[in-house]
Amino acid sequence: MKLNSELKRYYDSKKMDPARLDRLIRTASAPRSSFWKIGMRVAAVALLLIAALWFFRFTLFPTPSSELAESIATHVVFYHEEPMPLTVQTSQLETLTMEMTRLKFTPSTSSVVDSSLYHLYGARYCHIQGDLALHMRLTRDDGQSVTLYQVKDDPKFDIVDGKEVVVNGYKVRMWRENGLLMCLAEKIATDV
Amino acid sequence: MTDESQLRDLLQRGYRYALSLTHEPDQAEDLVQDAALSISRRGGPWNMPFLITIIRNRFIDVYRRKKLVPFESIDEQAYDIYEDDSLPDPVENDHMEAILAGLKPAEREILYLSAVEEYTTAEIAEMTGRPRGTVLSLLHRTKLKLRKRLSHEAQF
Repeated sequence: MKLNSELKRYYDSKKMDPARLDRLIRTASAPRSSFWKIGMRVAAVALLLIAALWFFRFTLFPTPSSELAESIATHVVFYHEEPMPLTVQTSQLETLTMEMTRLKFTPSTSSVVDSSLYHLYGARYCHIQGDLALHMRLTRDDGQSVTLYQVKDDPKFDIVDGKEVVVNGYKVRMWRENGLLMCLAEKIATDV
Repeated sequence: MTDESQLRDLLQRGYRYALSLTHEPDQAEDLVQDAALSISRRGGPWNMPFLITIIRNRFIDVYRRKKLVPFESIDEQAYDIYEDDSLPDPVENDHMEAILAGLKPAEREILYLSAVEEYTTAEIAEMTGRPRGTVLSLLHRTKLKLRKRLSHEAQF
């Protein structure tokens, strides 16, 4: 047996979860596939518009925090839509604290998430920007499923504090509270 | 081959590369996702060397934030040109996983890029920003270490 072929066989057996990969491909290739559907002429116009938008965004109105906020929001929405198994199913925050011992922080209630309107039903481990985080799943009184991320606060989150980003029809709010960065993802109501 | 299947293969390869750095599936998936979305926002290019660069930079960022050293400095040492690549027996995946867990990220990375992606030492040197001699030395020592551990474990 060759060492190289054994290593190759080992790594070839490692695959990203197919459902997550499908979703990532859809998200990552969405702008490109739309370009395929339109003609070259329209594509050229669109490219010019995009170039103009990027010029205005980064040259005239630089927003250094937007990329990190967008990256975190995309990540949160991605895993909100993904039917990931929950590590703990409970309606009690205390149970999460006791059961999820890998966390380096204590899960907390929030003044933004009114406990009379939002009801916890479970949580799982996750990561934000490489830090171990908590992904809580809640339901609202209207039956809507909501995601609340919590991660230990860090100076790198300075620039996303108070941000709101819209991703795939979800509004993602980010704020600091009780020594944590919290991110709340809720579907935007369409029946206006 | 369709665009989508090419993208799927590329992201799976990116995932395996990220796994070679982290040796932790969740973190590897996070790295690939962040890298893919970053490339998507830039509008490409969708190729392996660029994906490796983005994943590697993200990995270094994450480690630096945690005040860890992602890639320790590597001493240049003499290495033998002749390299015995043989193993006495096939290696079970669980066994390989446990042995790889004991290696450093830089060691797993160089094994992956060389053995799985089959990049030349010159290409690896360019991707990782290390002199070619250092890459050769690290690769040789890592293979030696891996083979020694595999054969040591096999005795029990």
